[in-house]
Amino acid sequence: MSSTFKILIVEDEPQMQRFLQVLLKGHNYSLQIVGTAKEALNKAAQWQPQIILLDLGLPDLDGLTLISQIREWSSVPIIVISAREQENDKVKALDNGADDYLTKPFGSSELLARIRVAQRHGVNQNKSYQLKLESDDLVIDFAQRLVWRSGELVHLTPIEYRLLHLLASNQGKVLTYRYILKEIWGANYIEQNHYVRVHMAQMRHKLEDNPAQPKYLLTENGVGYRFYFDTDNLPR
Amino acid sequence: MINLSIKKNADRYSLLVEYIIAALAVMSLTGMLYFIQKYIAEADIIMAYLAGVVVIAYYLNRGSAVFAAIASVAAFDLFFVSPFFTFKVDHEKYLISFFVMALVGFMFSSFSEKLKQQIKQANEREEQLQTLYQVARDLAVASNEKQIFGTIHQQIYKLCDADVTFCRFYNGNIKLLSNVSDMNESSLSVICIEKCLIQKQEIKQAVNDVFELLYSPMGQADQAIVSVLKVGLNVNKEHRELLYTYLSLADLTISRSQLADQSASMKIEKESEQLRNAILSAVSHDLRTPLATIMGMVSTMLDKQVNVSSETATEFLETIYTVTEQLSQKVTNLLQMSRNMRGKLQPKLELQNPEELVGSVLAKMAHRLKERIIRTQLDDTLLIPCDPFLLEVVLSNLLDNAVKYSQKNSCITIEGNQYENYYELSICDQGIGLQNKYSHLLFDHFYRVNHQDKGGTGLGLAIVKVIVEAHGGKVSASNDSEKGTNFTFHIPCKLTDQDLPNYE
Repeated sequence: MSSTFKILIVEDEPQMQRFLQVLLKGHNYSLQIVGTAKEALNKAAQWQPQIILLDLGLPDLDGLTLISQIREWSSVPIIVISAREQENDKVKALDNGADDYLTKPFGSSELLARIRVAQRHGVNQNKSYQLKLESDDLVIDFAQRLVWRSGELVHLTPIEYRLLHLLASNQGKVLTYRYILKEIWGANYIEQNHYVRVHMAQMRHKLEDNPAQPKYLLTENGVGYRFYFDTDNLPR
Repeated sequence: MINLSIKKNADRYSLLVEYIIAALAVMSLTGMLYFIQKYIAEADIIMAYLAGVVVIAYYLNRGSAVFAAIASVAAFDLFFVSPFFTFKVDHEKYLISFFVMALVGFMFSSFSEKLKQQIKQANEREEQLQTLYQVARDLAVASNEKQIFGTIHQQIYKLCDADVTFCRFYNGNIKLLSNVSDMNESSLSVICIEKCLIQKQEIKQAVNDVFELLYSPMGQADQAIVSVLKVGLNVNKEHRELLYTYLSLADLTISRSQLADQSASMKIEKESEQLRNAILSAVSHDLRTPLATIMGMVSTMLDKQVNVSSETATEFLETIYTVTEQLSQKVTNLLQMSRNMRGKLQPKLELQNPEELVGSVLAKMAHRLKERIIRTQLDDTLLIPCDPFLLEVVLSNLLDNAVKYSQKNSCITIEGNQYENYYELSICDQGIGLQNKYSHLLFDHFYRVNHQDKGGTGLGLAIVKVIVEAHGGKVSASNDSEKGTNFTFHIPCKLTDQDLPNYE
């Protein structure tokens, strides 16, 4: 693992700071820890971190606002940590531009897995296009716009293909209903969550061995979907 | 019936008086004219008589006006037309004068009668309008159904020979809602009430030759309220219409009060929903934060890739211990609060020594308090009546608060004082103190002076207040004279020798 990978931690609780420090230093990440949104903005600009871990409950500014402010000039992956349970906050944070979400309390392995996903995603962003995704039983060829499952060609409707393409090009990242609807159906449809559900259900039946226990098209309840295409385990 | 005959006699008597007055008026007018007849013309005399008739027609009834007109003609003939003092006349032309005089007199009397009737009607209408306004005003301020029913019953009773009652129809049973009326359940017809509720319109039921019952639905349909108006058949049309107006006013008012009730209960529901949400979010936020620390630290220590030094491990364990302690206090508070909310808190009073009580709390909280200097100034022999477990909750919450809002190595003073009929205990810290404008909010559920940085459910002081008040005492917060916050609570204890056995 790269020893120079830089993570900015924005967390005001000293005890949380301490544990994140020990854990992430132990995994050879390079760290900076700040306790306020103001410092976070400064550090994000000067130090250029590759991932930002952000606690939503900050003393000086709402975390959601901070995300929007960072997103104005940077696309650095942001993982949100929050004690608020409401799905609403998750969705808001993701809509504002956060890449992933962790609810307190969480274990170290969970956090590390999210960081790895974000790390990869951050790297992938630099590549112009990924032409082909291949796993044991699923092959997606973006150049030919074809999908094979266990060697058999799968027929996807145009909308299903666009949905799959959107999810696959954001591998590992949670995409909210709102985002998916806006990208595929357009801004007028952002309230029609059921559109996505119906097409996702059909696609799951076409692509998954067991649609009730999906391997690739994972549902983040009440938030959106995540496309998962790796041998690396993502704890749920 | 006796009443009526007396009334009739009285009417007849006043009628007679009016005739006498009319006769006297004509006589005195004649006397006056007789003395001044040399100075005036005959036509003037006729005019004067006609004027007299007009005045009489205006003030007295029609009969006496007609009588006055005839009497005037007779008097004119008798005293002013030759030959005098006889009804004979010399010249036929006087016959025309007599005829015109009588005719004008009759006409005047009839006009003035009509005028009087119209005035009377207008007055009656105005009166009815006034009472209608009065009813509307009374109903507007009536806040419950009982007041509404009372007002309507009173007004209907005042208006005419009618009686009204209101009843609720439920499962085939009639329940009277007001007990002012002469009617009772057995005099009402179930069939009519059902019919009126189903058809949502008025149903008439003739009972006998004297009166009939009118059933009309009131308020909202699901409440099944029916008004029953018992009205005499002899009641005139205008009064009937007014009665119906009263009933529709009552209908509107009942609907309004029912809607007001509904909106009030919805408001209460909404408030308790908000409270529930507040509890949920407080629980989720404030239990998750310490749990996150514990889980994170433990999983880091278990992580084989991370080399946790023994100092770091000790530090982690220390932190976990502290955080667990806080967590435990929060859980206790939540349980206590849910218990308080469920019903009235009944402290089990026992005689306790404050020093002992404070000592046990301090021992339990030793870890949390180890970075503060604790000074106590308590009576070592005094006994106060209190619930030891509840008072422990009070003390630990106040101490926890003092630690939360003060610096390391600052001093916390616990001081007890016995007054004439209460025992006062105060806990002073040297922390940030409070802003006076917030002091009244301190003891509210979920209120926190500074939301973000200190953690806590905002329940602690609310629980303190509930417990102290359950003991019949009071709790208050103020800024200390030097620096920091002073929380004081007192518990009533009026100890005499006779009281002692009660607490054992």
